[in-house]
Formats: sequence, structure tokens, C-alpha cells
Amino acid sequence: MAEVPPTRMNQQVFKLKLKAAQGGHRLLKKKADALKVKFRDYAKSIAETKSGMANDASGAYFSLTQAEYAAGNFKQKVSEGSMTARIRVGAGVDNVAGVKLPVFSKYETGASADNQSLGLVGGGKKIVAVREKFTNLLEMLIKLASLQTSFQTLDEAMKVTNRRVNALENVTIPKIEDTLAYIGRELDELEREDFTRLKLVQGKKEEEQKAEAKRKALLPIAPGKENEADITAEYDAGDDTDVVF
Amino acid sequence: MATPHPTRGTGDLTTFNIQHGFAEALLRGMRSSFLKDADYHHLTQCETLDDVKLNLTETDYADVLADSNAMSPAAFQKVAVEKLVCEFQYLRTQTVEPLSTFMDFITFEYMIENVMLLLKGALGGRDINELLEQCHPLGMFKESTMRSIPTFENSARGYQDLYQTVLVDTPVGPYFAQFLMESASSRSGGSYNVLAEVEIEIIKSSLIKYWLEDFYNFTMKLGGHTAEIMGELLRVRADSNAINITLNSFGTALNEPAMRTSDRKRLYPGFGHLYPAGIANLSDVTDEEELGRALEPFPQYAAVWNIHASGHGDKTIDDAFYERDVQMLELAFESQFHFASFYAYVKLKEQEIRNLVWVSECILQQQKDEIQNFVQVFSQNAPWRK
Amino acid sequence: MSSAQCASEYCNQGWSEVLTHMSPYGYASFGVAFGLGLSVIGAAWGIWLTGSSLVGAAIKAPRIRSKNLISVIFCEATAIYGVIMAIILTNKIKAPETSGYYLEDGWDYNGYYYAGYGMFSAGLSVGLTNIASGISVGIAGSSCAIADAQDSSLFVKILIVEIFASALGIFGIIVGIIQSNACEFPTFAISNNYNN
Repeated sequence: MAEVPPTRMNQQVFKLKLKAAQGGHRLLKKKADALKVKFRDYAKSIAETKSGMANDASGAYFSLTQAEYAAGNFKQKVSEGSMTARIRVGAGVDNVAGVKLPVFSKYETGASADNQSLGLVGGGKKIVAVREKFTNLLEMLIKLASLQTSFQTLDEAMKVTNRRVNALENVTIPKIEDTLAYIGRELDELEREDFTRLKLVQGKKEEEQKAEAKRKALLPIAPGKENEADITAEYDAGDDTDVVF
Repeated sequence: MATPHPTRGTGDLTTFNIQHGFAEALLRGMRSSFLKDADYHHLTQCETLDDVKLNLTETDYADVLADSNAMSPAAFQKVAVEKLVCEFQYLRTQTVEPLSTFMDFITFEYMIENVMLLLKGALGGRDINELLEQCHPLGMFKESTMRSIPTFENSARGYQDLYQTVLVDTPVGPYFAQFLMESASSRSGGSYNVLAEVEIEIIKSSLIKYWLEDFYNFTMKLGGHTAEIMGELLRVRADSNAINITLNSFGTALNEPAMRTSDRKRLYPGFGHLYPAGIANLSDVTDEEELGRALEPFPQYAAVWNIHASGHGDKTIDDAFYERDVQMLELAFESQFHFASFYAYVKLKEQEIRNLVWVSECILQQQKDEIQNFVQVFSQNAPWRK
Repeated sequence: MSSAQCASEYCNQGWSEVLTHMSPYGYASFGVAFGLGLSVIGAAWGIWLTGSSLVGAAIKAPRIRSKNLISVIFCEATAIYGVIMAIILTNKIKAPETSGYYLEDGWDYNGYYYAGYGMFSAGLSVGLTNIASGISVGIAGSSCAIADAQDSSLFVKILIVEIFASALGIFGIIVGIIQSNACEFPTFAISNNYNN
């Protein structure tokens, strides 16, 4: 604070700074609120998806149990099949209040479905059911992954924003305000000093004037003579140098 | 196909025991190892897998479980299958011809599965040890042969060699020969193309079909009680295979008009109650409604079909078939002096293992509502005993 | 029989000739042999049927092994019936008191043949019924062992079936004894009385 010279100019500068800081604070606050709303939305849908998924996952795994009961162990047959993925996950970007959120979406690669005739001599229908359930589960998983990643990114962004808001609110703005107060104080001080000095000077001058008057009263000067004194005598020509422009 | 001709008959009422009495009685003794109603009741009341294991230690599984730290449905299954295989091999060593050939026939089903697994694994370039691990232990044959299956190079020539030097040596070689022959006549290209192009399930189903036919012929040649009881079991199995193949082909390439006659029809076994009239009808059906109509003339299958078609309850056609299978397999134990009980024993034990996995999975996944949906073996509460 | 007719008078004309020309002593002895032999075959067969099942079933259910020995004993009983019959029949075969090569004049040929055929058939009745009884006891015993291994309450029920199967042998031995009762081998000629 001390390094800021308490001048009118600096006061002006800091006033501008304060205005900017308050403006920024207001904007960031808005952003933080927007993020918070979005954050809550995500948290809610994550909770929903998760509770739904608990059911779906147990259902899917149970249907696998049912299929294995009906068709025997077919895991190895699946793993021996061609390993080209039929579904892949693509990444996109969503923009929330200037924060870039990753969004995952599934897309079909168009690879032909193999193992269609799995469980031909028994349990085929159950295996079809398993396939459906796990496809659903996969979709939910992708959705959840997307939500969860967004949630985390959002969380990070929110933290940063909140930190900025707090920094502005609790550090930058008070600092600027302090500086302004200091400058104001200093300026007032200076003003007061000037005032006393002026007063002092005035007092002195008045005293001098009084003494002069007294002296003049003691020394009766012939009337009209009082102006006889050479007015230029009081000015020493040597005192003033010529002003050369 | 060259069905092995039994060197001698099974013997009848008065002579069966001379050769097979011991093995049969041994098997009948093992019948008491099936989980009882009370065991199932206790198992379904369990809250955790620990409880399940504790309850199992009071059953015939006590010994095998004591030596392992199995604590998951898959581990229970592994232990139970190992126990079954152990018992089966013990039985197998006690048998003489023709019962030993009969028991070999039971294992061929699993061999086919293993060979298919190895072949497909070889196409995918998987590690042989990993593949051997996944093979069903009942379908193991000479390890050197098994190991050499995936070593052949992935080319037309390699497969030619594979077939000519390895597969013909396996017990299930003749079925491959028949499959390749039939496929070659309808398709161009060598055995490589067939093995690489045709879906593994379809090859397997074809091989199973040849095996069933072969088994059936062998059983018929054995004659006597065995032909009577085992023949019935196999006929029903052939029929349920045919129905299942038809039902499960809907929505796949097999149901396309061109494939229907060329491929799907070839998967239907050439015997059974449905053969030939029912099979002829089945080969033309394109949807469930038509399938139901095709099954109408056969009351026993119409009943099963109605369970599926009505869709009430959570009973599916698989459950219905399992239930009927268990009923028929149990009947095989109601009569003496025949081989069918050996087949029935393996199949019923499989059902029991399935039940065990089901119950422990239900407990693991907290699906208590579904826990009763399995078919008990030798249950006093079975629908057919009420 | 060969189609070529045998011209000699010592030629047998067929099996009937063999049967009619066989000595009643031979018949009686064959009766003993068949009675004992077939009974023992029946018993052995039954024990085989029961025994193999019993041994097999006892592996998983050792408690049945002594209880089910009763099935083996039932089978053994059929052999004992044969032995009893064989002893009774053997006691009835009496050598003639004449010492000549030919039988005396006035020999009771009716009684002689009657005794021979009667004892032969008595032996056969016992042997054949006991072979049937032995096998049926064996089959029932085999089922009994297997059933007992599953459910011990079935033991007594199947045992009753076994008793009925065992009774078949008793029918044989009763009829066999009655048959053989009337058979008395003549030991001396009764021609003196003929002349009266």
C-alpha cells in the first residue's frame, strides 16, 4: 500500500480498478451461479442414472445367469468370436457458461453381428434377451460416463470460478478499497497540512501587518507622503531575472 | 456312417448282471448322491455363499469342497464338474464292452464341443494352454492330439493337414468327415473354407446331429431294454433339438428362405418322434405361429409349446424342456438292466450342477424371487409325482 | 437221424430207442444229477445276479452289505433244495440183490421202469423249478440290494417278493418228493406171486 504514491492520479486509477473488479466479481458470480445450477442438474441425473443402473445391471447379470442355466457356458464361444466392436464411443463437446464439457455418445460401427446362432440347440431366446439387456446397460454406462466426466469438469470449473469470485470479493476488492481509503486519507492529510500552513502564513502576515501599522502609527508620515515611497524600491531589480520564453 | 457294431449284446433280465451288474449297481449307489429336497430347501434359504458352502458340506459334495477354497458360483461349478468327471471315469474303468463304448458315446458330445473350441481358438490365434483350460473335462482325449489341433497354420493347406492327420484320429473324427463331405457337396472350396466360414454353432450343431444319429444307431443295435429306454431318451432329445433349432433360428440368417432348406434342414436329426413328417413340416416354418401349428399333431410337444406360446408365468421353453428331460431321465432309473441310467446319471448330474450354480448365483445377486426357478432332480415335489 | 435206414437189428431207430433202452438206474441217477446240478446252476446264477449288484451297491451304501446277504442265502436255499432232493433220490436207488448178469425171471419191470422214470422226472422237476427260482430270486435280490441302497424302507417289501420267488423252488421240491415217494426200485423178483 505504501508503495502507492497517494496522488490524485493514483486515486483515479484505483477507482477505475475497483469498478473493474466489482464488475468482474458480478459477472463471475453469475457464472458461478449458472454453473451451480448445471452442477445440481448433473448431480441429480447422475443419481437417477445410477439408481436405475443398479437395477439394470443386476437385471442384466441375472439374465446372463438365466441364459447360462438354459444354454450352458457360452462365454468362451463369445470370446472366440470375431472381436470387432459393434458399438464405439464418440466424444463431443458441450458448452455451459463458457465451460467446455465432454459428452460421450455411442455410435454403431456397422460391423456385422456375429454369434447370431448362439444357443441354437437350447437357450437361444435367453441369449437374445441377454444381448438386449447388456446393450441397454452399455447405453446407460456411456450416459453415466458422459455425465460423470462432465460432472467432474464442471466441478473443477466451479471451483476455479468460486476461487476467483472469492479472491475478488475477499482479497482484490478489499485491497483496492484499502488503497483508495489510504489515498483519500493521505490526500486529506495533505490538505489539512496545507490549510494549517496557510493559516500560519496568514497569521504571520497579519502580525506583520499589525506591526507595520503600529510602526506607521509611531512614525508619523506626512500625509501624502505615504505614497511617496518608491514602490519599485521594494522590488530588487536583481531579484527578477528576465523571463525568457 | 460306420456305427461301431456292439461286440455283444447287453444281456437281458437274467444275464445283464453277469457283465454289467457291478457297474450298474455302483451307479445306482451313486444315485443317492443327488441333492435331496431338504438340501435344496436349505440351500435356497442361504443368505451368503458361505452358508451355501456350509450346507454343501453336509451333502455328497463335502469331500471335494473341503479340499478347495471355492467361493463363487463358477468355482462351485468347477468343483462339481470335476467331481462328476471323476465319478464318471471311475465308472468307466469298471465297465466292459459294450457298456464302455456306450459310455464313450456319452463323452463324444463334450469332445465335439472341445474340438470346436480348439479349432475356433486356433483361428483366433489363442494360447493352447488357455484353451485346454476351458475344455470340458469330460470331453478330454489324448492330450498330444488336443495340443496338436491348434498348431496347424492358418491356411487352406494347414487345415487339410489338420483334418487328415489329427481330426481323423479323434473319436469324433467320423462326424467331421461326414460334415465336411456334406458341406463340400453344397459349397465350393476345401475344408478350410468350411471351417472358417461356417459359424461355430452351426458346425457344432451338425456334429451333434451326426453324433445323435450314431448314438441312436448304436443303441438300437444293442437292443433289449437299452434300446427301448435309451432309444426313447435319444428320440426325445433329437426332437427337442429340432424344435429348439427351429425356434432359435428365427431372426437369424438360418431363417432366410435359401438357408432354410440348405442349412437348417440339415441340422435336424434323422430320427425321433418328429421324423419324418414333423421334420418336413418344421423345415418350412418361418415364425413362431407356424412352428406352433407344425407341432400340433404331436401332443407331447404341443404341450411344451403351449407353455412357451401362452407366455404366462416365467416359464420358458427351455425350462419346459428341462423339466421334461428330468422327468424322462428319472424314469430311466425306474427300470433295471439297461444302460440308459448311465446317460441319465450324467445328464441329471449336469442338471444338478446347473441348479447349484443357479441357486448360488441367485444368492450372490440377491435375486431371492427367482431362486426357486430350477428343476429339481429326484424331487418328491416334482409336478409329475403329485 | 440220418436218412439212410440202418439195416442191422442192433441199430437204434431213433431217440425214442435211446430213451426206452436206457436203464432205469441210469434214469434215476440222471434224475439225481439234473436235480442237483440244475438247482446249483440256479443258485449260482442267482448269487451271481445278486452278488454283483450287492457288491456294486455296497460301495456307496456299505450298510446294505450284511442285510442283503439274505438274498444270497435265499439263492443258496435253492441249491439246498437240490441237495435234499438229491439225497432223497439217491437213497431210493437200490441195487438189485441178484448177482447174475440178467435180471431174474419175474422181475417187476413195471415198478422198475416206474421208479426210473419217476425219479428222473422228480429230479427234473426240482432242478427246473429251482433254476427258475434261483434266477428269479437273483433278479429280485439284485433289485433289493439296489433299492435298499437308496431307501432302506424298501428292503422288507422287496424281501417279500424274494420270498415268493423262493417259494417257487419249494413247489418243485414238494412235487418232487411226492413224485419220488411212489418210486420203489425192486430189489428181487416177485415172480412167485405171479404164478398164483
